[in-house]
Amino acid sequence: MSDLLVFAAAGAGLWALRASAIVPAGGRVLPEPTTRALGYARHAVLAALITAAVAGGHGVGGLVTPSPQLAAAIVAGAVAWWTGGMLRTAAAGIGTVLLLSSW
Amino acid sequence: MTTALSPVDTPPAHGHLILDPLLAGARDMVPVLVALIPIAVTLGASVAASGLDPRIGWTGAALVYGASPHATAVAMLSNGAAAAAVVVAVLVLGARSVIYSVGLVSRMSGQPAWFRWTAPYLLVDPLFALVTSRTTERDSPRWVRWYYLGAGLAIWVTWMPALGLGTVVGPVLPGNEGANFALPALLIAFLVPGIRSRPALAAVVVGGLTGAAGGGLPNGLGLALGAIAGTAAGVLCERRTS
Repeated sequence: MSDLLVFAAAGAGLWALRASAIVPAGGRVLPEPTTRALGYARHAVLAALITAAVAGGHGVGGLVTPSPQLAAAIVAGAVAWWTGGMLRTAAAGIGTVLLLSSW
Repeated sequence: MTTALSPVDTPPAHGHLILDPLLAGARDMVPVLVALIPIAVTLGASVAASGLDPRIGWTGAALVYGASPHATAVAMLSNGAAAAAVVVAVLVLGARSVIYSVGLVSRMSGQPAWFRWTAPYLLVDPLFALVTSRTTERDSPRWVRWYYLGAGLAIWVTWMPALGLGTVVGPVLPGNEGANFALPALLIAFLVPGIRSRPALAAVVVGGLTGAAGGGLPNGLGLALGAIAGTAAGVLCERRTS
């Protein structure tokens, strides 16, 4: 399946989620435990994506071996925690990688 | 942030039925747009650095409309994830849209079908936040409808060109390592502020470790395993703490 078709399929699914209560305007609500579980799934997916990018295919060892990406992830995480700002977080992470890579 | 008058049932005496709420929505969104532009450019640069065809990556932003789901889809596709895994991940990340959808039901009653079918496409975090804070159930459906479209379209017509600009200028900007880290940095920005409980932290730790451990598996299997293991950890931790 081409990348564009994957985007289209994912976009259609995303629209269906957003429309789930608006289109019928009936206000059907997911059970509370399901909603909470989906929240944890969101956290897990994002964490897996981040650690996979930071580890760079070196497994869990990639998360304990010093590297510009690991340092940048820690700095970006701290900035995100303290400020909650997307732009500041991205700037901190990118800046750290650039700084350490230039050494 | 200023808000134009919110009419109840009737439009302003000297106003325009459509333009007034449309422009009010766009105007109220301006501060958010200022913050969104650099993020869109950064995300565009990460699309260019991901290895995907930039044109497909940009078109994907229109199809998977929303920074977090789009960034995730780009990251997974560039990692060679299976199509089904990408779709599932996008749906998981978009799950909170269901909450937004439910939160807008009271403002959608009395709206025409064309609007109820098109409005969900634009429903991203800042739009939900603005519309639910700046309109009430007492506002006329027409006002809410055009206010929503004004604010939502303001985001779209800002986001898409800015992201396109990022795909163009990203490759010529110095510091390729920095561009490569733009996507993980944005994902960190999406993730960290939401960690507000032990179960959420458990989901992050277990999901992250599993994702890293399975980083070498084909078709993004490590990501899927990380999602499953992290979710299970979150649910189990919640049961133990409650």
